[in-house]
Amino acid sequence: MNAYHVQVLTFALINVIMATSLSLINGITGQFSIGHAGFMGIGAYTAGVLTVVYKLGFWPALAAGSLAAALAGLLVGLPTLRLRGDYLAIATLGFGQIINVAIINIPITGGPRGLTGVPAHTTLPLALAGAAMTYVILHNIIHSAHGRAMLAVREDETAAEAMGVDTTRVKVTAFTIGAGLAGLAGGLFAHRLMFLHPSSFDFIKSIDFLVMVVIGGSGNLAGAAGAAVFLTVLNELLRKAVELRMLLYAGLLILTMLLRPKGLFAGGVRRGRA
Amino acid sequence: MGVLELKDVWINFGGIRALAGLSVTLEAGEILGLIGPNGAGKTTVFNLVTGVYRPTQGSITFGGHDLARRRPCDIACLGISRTFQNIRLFQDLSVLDNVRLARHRRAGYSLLEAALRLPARGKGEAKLTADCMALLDLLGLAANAQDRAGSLPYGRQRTLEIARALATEPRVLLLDEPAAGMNSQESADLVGLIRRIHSDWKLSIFLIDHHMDVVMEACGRIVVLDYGEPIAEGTPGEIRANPRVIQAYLGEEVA
Repeated sequence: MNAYHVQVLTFALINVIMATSLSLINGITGQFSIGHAGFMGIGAYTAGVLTVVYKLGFWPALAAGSLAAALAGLLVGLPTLRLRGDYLAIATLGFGQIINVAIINIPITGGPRGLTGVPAHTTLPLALAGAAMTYVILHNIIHSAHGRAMLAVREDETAAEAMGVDTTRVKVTAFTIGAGLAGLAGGLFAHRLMFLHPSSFDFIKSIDFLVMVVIGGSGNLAGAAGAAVFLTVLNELLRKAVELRMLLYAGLLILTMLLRPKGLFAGGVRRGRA
Repeated sequence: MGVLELKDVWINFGGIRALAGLSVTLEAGEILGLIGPNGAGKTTVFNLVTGVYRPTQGSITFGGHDLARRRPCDIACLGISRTFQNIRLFQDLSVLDNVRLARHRRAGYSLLEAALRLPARGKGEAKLTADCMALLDLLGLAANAQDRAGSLPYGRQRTLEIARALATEPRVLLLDEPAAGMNSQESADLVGLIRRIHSDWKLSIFLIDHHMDVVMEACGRIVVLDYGEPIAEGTPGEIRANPRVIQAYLGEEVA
């Protein structure tokens, strides 16, 4: 495995964190969010600015990035999660754009020129540990009473409320956890690429993560993780044919919807177990 | 003593008056029936009690708590549970998960304990599952525990809705047309089930249904609604003989 392979694999694992954390919000809780890259951006820039400008250590910076993103998730979630379906999608889309514009216009982030000189700290084993930790935590939450409350919100909000599920609280909780993990992914990303640019966290990026969740099968955590690795590697293989890449992406999505509506990777909806 | 009291409740949807000055008290431990022609406002009463709608005017109290401004989930936690006229199970979840979900507040472990799989999670989950299996067993659904809720036959889905409502450990149970779509044998079984849970769980039950035989059999007292207004109240015998009720259901006699 040469340095290039290590790099691709590291990014694939960071994308696993992004896809699985989005799966908690979109697939499990059923809240259609298309601003997930925004939370990654908050984590990346918070951690990056802290290590570059304030010379903070990597670990505290990584934690701060994750916390900042979780806090943003909480603040964005409280008002917007009262919205449903299309309206929530538009609100989260708007949030993603706001983050992007903010990054470009705040001087400390380096603006449109980007933030350079981020120290390299994220190694392949670290990315693997981050992805594994994310996966285990999300898996544990989903297979608990708290995860069932999230599934109930997805299935039928009215019935969930009637059974005593505080749907607003459940939605905001899922959103905050998902955002915090996206922030962690952002921090890892920043200290691997060593250079941050607003375009790394734009709308197209949010769609990329959404595609991973959809292709993996909505609500299927392992599927989302598999799709994240698969699409990251595919993306690299198609680097020489950029035009073909978008075509292939679109084709893959359409084929998934037609042939495997519950996802490319087996299962689909989780069944209950004793 | 009244458990659940509605006093002079009005509700308008735009220009439509759905309820006009309804006052009704559910006494502790009784089975109260609510009947009336289609569109009389029966389900609206349940939606008001459970916080889905807010009354335009009037008060709804439950054991000293004013329900008119509370959210549905808070009302459920106070001890009022319901079933739905058009079944609203979590179709894609298992039968067991439907019931476990309704007890999620009694799971007894935090989100952090769940995320880190601490011992409290295992203990809480084992107790939760055991309690729910016991409940399913009582209602004859234990054999279906792992089945997808949406795959159950219609009558069993109705029973599962009742099981799910019971899992929240309510003091008041609202049943919205539990006999809808059932034949006479199934209806008779349902009356038996309602009586059994009424005595075993020491519940007060508020029952809406169109099957007169079910309502007359199960209820000690019946309230009749027509066009959002209460037109009669009494024992099944009194209601059967009440000329206003007959008129509401069958129309006016041509002189």
